[in-house]
Amino acid sequence: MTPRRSRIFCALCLVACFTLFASSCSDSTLNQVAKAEADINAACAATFTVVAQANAANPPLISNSDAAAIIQVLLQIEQGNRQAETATGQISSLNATNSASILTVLAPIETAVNNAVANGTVNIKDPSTKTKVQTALVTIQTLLNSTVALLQAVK
Amino acid sequence: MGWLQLANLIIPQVANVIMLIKNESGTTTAIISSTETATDQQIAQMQQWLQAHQAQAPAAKPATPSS
Repeated sequence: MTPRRSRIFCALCLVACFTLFASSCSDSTLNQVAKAEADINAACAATFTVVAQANAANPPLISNSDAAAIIQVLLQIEQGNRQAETATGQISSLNATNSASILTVLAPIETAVNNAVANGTVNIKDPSTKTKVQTALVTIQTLLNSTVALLQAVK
Repeated sequence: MGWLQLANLIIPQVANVIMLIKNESGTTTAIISSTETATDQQIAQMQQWLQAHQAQAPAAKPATPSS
């Protein structure tokens, strides 16, 4: 290899290394986690609207105590999600340590959502309201599971 | 190929990568900041609902006869 060719080769290798390094720093997973947190918030807001409207109907389609139980779970999810948002906002890229700390924040709300999906709607008498609330809770569960999967995949 | 040509080849690629990082990081910050506000509003709304309905609950209870 002539000196000039080896100079070009070295320069191209440097560019390739920089591109690889920079791509890893840009962290599209962090972006996906931020979007998922926004989606969880939107899904909780939608579920709250369904429950509050069903409770406000005349006659109420869902009792005060059943509505309060579901809204308590939604509040717990939102508070956990808020903590996860704060943690996500403080980092510029995900690594094994900060992913694990966000996962710790999400663990209790994951349990709460799973319990709500399993038992949260058993006392709702109106079939249409029951289906709407159950569907909304499953949407939150799916979003939360995909966020957890994203974070667990970070090495 | 001289240094000038090499620089012409490298600089645009480096600039593209820097723009990519800048845009993505800006998007994440914007998403988080708007979501935090929305989540805070939602938390406040849920707490208000719970307070209002927990305050109503004792009033809805039938009065127990005093012995």
